[in-house]
Order: sequence, then C-alpha cells, then structure tokens
Amino acid sequence: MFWFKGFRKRKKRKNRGSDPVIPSTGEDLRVALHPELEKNRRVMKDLFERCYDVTFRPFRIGKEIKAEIVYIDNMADIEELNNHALAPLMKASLTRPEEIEGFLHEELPVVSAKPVQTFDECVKHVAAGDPVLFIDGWDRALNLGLRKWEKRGVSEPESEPVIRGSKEGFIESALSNTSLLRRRIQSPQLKLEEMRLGRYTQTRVIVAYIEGVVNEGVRDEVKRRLERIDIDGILESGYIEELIEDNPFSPFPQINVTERVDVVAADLLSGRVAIFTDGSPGVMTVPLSFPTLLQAAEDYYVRFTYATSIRWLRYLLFFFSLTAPSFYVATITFHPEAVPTEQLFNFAAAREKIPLPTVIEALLMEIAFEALREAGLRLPKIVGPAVSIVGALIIGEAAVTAGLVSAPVVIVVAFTGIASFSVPRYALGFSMRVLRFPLLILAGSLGMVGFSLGLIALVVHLATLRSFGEPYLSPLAPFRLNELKDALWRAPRWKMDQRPTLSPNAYRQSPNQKPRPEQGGER
Amino acid sequence: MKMKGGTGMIERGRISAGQMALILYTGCVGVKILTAPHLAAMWAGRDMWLSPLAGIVSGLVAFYAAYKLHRRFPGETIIQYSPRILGWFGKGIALLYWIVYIHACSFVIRYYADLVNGVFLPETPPTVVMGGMALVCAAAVRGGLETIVRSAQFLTLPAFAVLAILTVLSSTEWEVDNLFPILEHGIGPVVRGAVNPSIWYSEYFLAAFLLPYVKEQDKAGRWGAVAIVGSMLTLTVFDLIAVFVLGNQSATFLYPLFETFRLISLAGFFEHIDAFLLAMWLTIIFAKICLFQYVAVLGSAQWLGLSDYKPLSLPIAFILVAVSIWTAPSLSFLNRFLDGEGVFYSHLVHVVIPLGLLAVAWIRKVKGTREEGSAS
Repeated sequence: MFWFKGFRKRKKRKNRGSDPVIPSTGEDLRVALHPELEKNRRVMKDLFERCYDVTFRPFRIGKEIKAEIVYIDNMADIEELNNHALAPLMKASLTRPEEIEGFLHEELPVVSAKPVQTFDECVKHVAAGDPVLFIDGWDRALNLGLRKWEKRGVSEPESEPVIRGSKEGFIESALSNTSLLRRRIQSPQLKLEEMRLGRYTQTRVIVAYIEGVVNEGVRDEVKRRLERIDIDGILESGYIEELIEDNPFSPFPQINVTERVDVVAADLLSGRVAIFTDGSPGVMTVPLSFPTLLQAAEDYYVRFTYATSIRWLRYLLFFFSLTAPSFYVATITFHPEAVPTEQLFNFAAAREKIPLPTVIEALLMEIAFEALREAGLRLPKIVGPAVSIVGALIIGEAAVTAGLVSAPVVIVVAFTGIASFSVPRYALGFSMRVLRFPLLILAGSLGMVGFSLGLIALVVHLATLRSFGEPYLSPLAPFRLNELKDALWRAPRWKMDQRPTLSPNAYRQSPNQKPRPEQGGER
Repeated sequence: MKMKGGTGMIERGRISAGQMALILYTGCVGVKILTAPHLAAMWAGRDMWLSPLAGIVSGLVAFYAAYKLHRRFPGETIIQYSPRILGWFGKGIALLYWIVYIHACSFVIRYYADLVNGVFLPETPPTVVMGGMALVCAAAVRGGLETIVRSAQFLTLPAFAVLAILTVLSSTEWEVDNLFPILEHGIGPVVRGAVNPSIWYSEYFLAAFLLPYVKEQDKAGRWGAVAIVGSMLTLTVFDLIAVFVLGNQSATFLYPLFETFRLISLAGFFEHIDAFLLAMWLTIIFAKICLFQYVAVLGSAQWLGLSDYKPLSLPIAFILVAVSIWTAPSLSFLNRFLDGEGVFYSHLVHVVIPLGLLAVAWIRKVKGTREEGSAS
C-alpha cells in the first residue's frame, strides 16, 4: 500500500494553493510597533508599495511631535478626518509624548478610536478603510473608525416583491444589513458574530441568531462549517453556500437566500441562523425545509383564508411546473385511452401532420422556452420586448402552422412556464427547470411507469436530504403535527403559538389570543 | 460467533411508531388491494369480503411474536437474536430468514412487473421494468430506514387519499344487491379464500426488523395493532367494492381493482383513469418493495457481521432482479403458489419459527444484553 499512500500525498500537495504569503494575514506581521515613527513609516510604506490609493499624510501634533496618518482615499471620511482628528491634533498644545495617550483618550472627538499594537492590525484597518494614526515616541498606533464606503441605498428587493409588507431590502454592505436587522429585532439577545473569510478579500461574514431561541446545535454547526472554509476570496454568498451545504450534488437548494429583512427576522424568531456576507444582498438562513421554498413572505401579512388558498394554488402550480409536460407525453404516447374520446380526436387531428414523436416535440418546445427565458434575462433591457415578440410569433404561431409542433404541446409548455413563475423562491425554479427534462425523457420512454418511477426517485432524494441536520421534507415527513399548520395551510396568527420543533424555546406567544367582540370594547 | 459480541446498531436512523405502522400497513395492503379480490373470489365468490376478517388472525399472531421477541431482545433483529437463542443452529435460521426475504421480495417485484408488463407496457422487457424499480428502491435503502419511511409517508398518504376518493366516485356503479345472499355456501369457502390474504398478513412479522428502531417503544404495540386492523378494514372495503361493481365475475379479472376504477366516469370527461391509478399504485408498491429490500439488505449485513449495510443495497438489488425472473415462470403459477403451498411457507417463517424461538428463549431463559430503551 506504500505506493498508494505516496500517490495520495502527491495529489494532495498538488492541490494545495500556491498563494504567496499574504501580508495582511501573515504570521510574520504580528510584530509590535516601534516607538520611532520613521521605522513604522518605512514598514508601512513597504507593505503598501505600489498602492497609489494609500495616502501618507505627515504632520505635527501641536507643532512639536511628529505624527502621520495613513488612509485610503475615498474609503475614509475625509471631512470627518479633517475636522475631528487632524484639526484638534494640530491645535493641541502637547510637547511630551507621555501626554499623548491621555489626550487621545479624552479630547479627540472621534467615536471609535482604538489603539493598536501590531503591524498586521494596522494593515487590516487601513485596508478596510479606517485611517490609522502613527505618533513619534509612542509604540502604538491609533485606529480611527472613520471609514465611509460608497453604497447603494436601501431599495425594494426586485426578486421578492410584495404588495403588503415592508419594501426594505438588503444591500451589499453587511454593516447596513445588520443594522436593518437590528432595527427589526431590538433586543440584546440578537447576537451578531463576525468572522473574516477569504485570504485576500477578508470578507466580513456575520452569523446572526437570537440567543435562547436559536437551536444551538445548528448555530455551532454553522460556525464550524464557516470556519472550515479556506479560500482566496468570497465575492458572493453563493460561494459560501456551495462550501457549507449538506449535499453538494443535489439539484435542490438547501440554504434559503433572501433579500428581505422581514424574512430574515422571521426566520431568526423561529430559531434559525442567518449568515450575512459583505458584498452580497442575499442573506442566507438555515436550516431550510422544502415547504418553506413555496411560502412567500406576504402569506403572513394577509388574511389567513386567502393565504391558505393561495398557498394551495402554489403547491398545485409547483407540481404542474414539474410534471405537466411529462404527464402529457406519457398520456398521449402510452395511455391515449385516458383522454376523453372527442378530445383525443382533436389531439390526433392536431398531431396528424407532425413528423416528430411527442417526446421530441415536447423536448424541443421546452428547450425553446428555456432559451427564450435565458435570452430575456441576459439581454439588455431595451432589447427584451423584441425577444418576447419574436419568441411568441415563432414558437407560438409559426411553428404550429409550419407543422413542426402541435398546438397542445405549445399549450402545455406555455402553461408549465407560467406555473413555474409562481414559485416564490427563484432557487427552486432552477431545480424545477433542470429536473423537468429527465422526467420528460423517462415519461417518453416508459410512459406512466417511468413518470411515476422518476417522481418516486425524486421523493427518495428529497427524503435523504438534510439541511444542517433538519430533514428537508420536515413537517410533512417526518410528520410534525404542530408545524403542519404552517405548511399545509397558514394558520391564523393567534393559532401559531408554537415555534418549530427546531427551536428549544417552544412558545412564541401566549395562548388564547383569538380576538372576540367583547374584547374590542363594544359593550 | 461474530454476532455474540453484538456489532452495535448498524442502522442509525430512528422512526416513530406511526411511521412503522404506516410502512407495515402499506406492505400488507400493497399487492393485495390489486390481486387479492381475484384469488379470494375464486373460492368465496360474493362472500370474499369476509375473507380479510378471517385472515387477520395470522397477522395478529405474527405481529405478537415479533413484538414479544423484541421485548425480550430490545435493539436486535431476528438475525441477531436467533443465534443467541439457538447457537449455531440459530445462525442457520438467521440465514434462512435472509434468503426468505430475498425470495419474498422477488415475489413482490415479480407481481409488480407482471402487472406493468401485462397491462401497460407489453413490449418493454421485464428486466427494464424490474430494474428501474429495484434501482429506485436501492437508492432509498442506501439512504437508510429514515429515508424509506419518509418517502413512503410522503408518497403513500396522498396515494391512499386518492384511492379513497376514487372509491367514493365508483359509487355510481355499485349494485349493493350483489352482496346477497351472504354465506350461501357456509363459512368454508370464506376460510379457504382467506388463505392468500393471510400470507400478506403474516408479513406483519417484518416488524421484527423495524421495532428495534422505533423511538416511542411504548406506543409500538398499539400502533402495530392499529395497522393490522386498518389493513383489514381497507381490504374489506376494496373487496366489497369489487363485489358491488363486478359481482360474481370478480374471479375472472386478474386485477379487479383496475377493472372497477376503469368504470369511473367523472363529468363525462375523466374516463379510463386506470393509468393514473397505476401511477398511484406504483408509489404504494414502491414502499412495499423498499421494505422487503431493506430487510434483505439489513439482514445480510447483520448476518455477515458487517459494520454498514448501505454498500450492499445495489448488489442485492441486482440479485433481486435476477431472482424475480427465476422465481416463477408465469403470473398464474405465482398466484397458484401463493394460494396453496405458499401459505405453509410463509406461516412457517412468520409464525411457527418465531413462536418456536420465543418458546425456546423462554425455556432457556435467554435475554437480550441491551437495556430497554438504550437504542444507540
């Protein structure tokens, strides 16, 4: 077995990243600062060599002591820096270095001013946009929390629109996002733990949960999986998602991604854990169960009777969006007797001149539909309508007239498309689009048996899946009676007394809050 | 004796008592709702709906034996405790069980394949039909017991609901007069007609493989009884419908249920819905095959003293397909076997041997080493 071991070792070494030692995290930079300004300055200059945006601004405190501010243009708030740091320092009447610390502590009007001791900390702060102040004769530097980044304003999330409910969506800055969340949950029990991922990008990743409500097993597992990540950069929450999910080969999303503040707040209140990624408006929440993917935020804001019926409609449409084409193909090809007689004549007449078998026909149309959808998404917005016109004309009309496809197939495919748009989470739409094709081929080759076997295989896969230890089909299988009221229907608010079993803190609200007329003060 | 030390629990999943009941129930009625009316009607004629009542006895005895053995040896399956009771001879009995379940599973696969080939896909090679199902089941078995019960739960509950709706819809075709006179030829033919159903009932002994993994041990017995009574009621209802709709002709149809539902016409638009019924029934038969395949796989791993059973699921699926092809030359042979010799075969395995084991264990005062409830 020696050769085998050697082989594995070599392979491993090959895979190891060949990144150079990165100064910002390198061990060799855990060096204490020097009291002499000139030496510190030289090290910093070396580190930020050929970085034109890093500015070194030398000055004197009270015309006596030499000092230098290092910052990055456009990442630090210059105005604040001028008025509240540089001006008071220059005007100060200090002569001896010993007085500096006291002065900085008591008289500098900057909220966040922390002394730092080593070079790696200095580098980290400068790279993140905070100005760092070096003073001659002091073996520390002062980190001034005056970063100011360009960011987009809070706007309505375009992928999850609602009619009733908040229009607040997350943006790219993790700091703003957590503040949005904090505004929703104003409790010290809301914990936001920060970590940095990505060797170069040093992306801020924040794990949010409510102490006492969160399932601690899940929380620890999230942290463990995040800490395991060793990568050069994280540019989107999708990177993290792929690195921490349970089954990487599954076509189904196992982590919920949302841009809505209220959804994240509701998830945290149910005992889940949220992961914020700097640079991404998509906030991930775990664990995810399959029925959640078919629930929209608005379900909880409108009357429960309406929400329940809409939810049922959505379940139905979801099922259609997955199965309609394959069901049609199986029926027409293998079990035509199931079609009512008159309708069968119409179908037969429509199909008479079509040279292709029904499966191929349906496959062609599905591919054409997917192509239209993809093109509509990628094209510049101005050209968009052109695609739909061309698509509708060519696919809808000309193809039928030309005898390439039959009208029923067009109807089925179009209906499937509409049905798939009703799925509230975009990620689930992807899985449906991918899975429709194998199912179509199975139905075309084995009829209802293939169709059924395909669906069974799908359910088996779903039953195997877990999201952070939670069974994916959770309130349905395994059966959890007290959670079904949020899956099969949407129970009225005064009925939802309990949190999901996930949370150790079982009760959400006090019981018997059903409103009655006499409580409304009608007497 | 590798087993003696105990290989620990190679099944890590835990199921609830209700889930156990559901999968046993599905296993019991799965094949029978389609075929039993045919066999029972051959003997009992219009009284066939009484035969499930007569057959229930073997179900109760088999489940009782499994339950008692389980209480005596908590956390173990029959493959593990039979060597404890009888030493090397017990090891031989365990081997018998392993082979029996491969054989029994091949029956079910064969039934399924014959139905699909006979009614829906006459030109598809049976190997493809069997292989497809065996592969899907192998995937489920690989996922473990939890996967099996969860997918069974997710699939069969809607299927049974649809069957219930179809039952109501078929009411327009009912001729309740077909029922009379009741017991025209006495009780004899009814008991004879109960022979075949009793085979499927005796399969409640499969609980011996599920009970060790049930979370709520105190509810397991009650839920098992609920499942047995439920399956009896279900079969009685389906037999009654066959009598109502087809009358004395039930015996001439191989699959009376399909014939019954074929007559349903809803709003003059939905007709001949037997293809959809097939899609429904496949989910039920899937649960049944899964259960047997799981038992075969788990049994082989436990008999061989392996530390994991999951890698065996695919090879055993291949074996099952092959055995299903050899197991019977034709469906009528299979039916004849299950109406005659099969009853001794299955009762020997599911009732006589377990009761014997129980008696020997009681006389020799052998008990399980594991503490009650320490299921891990």
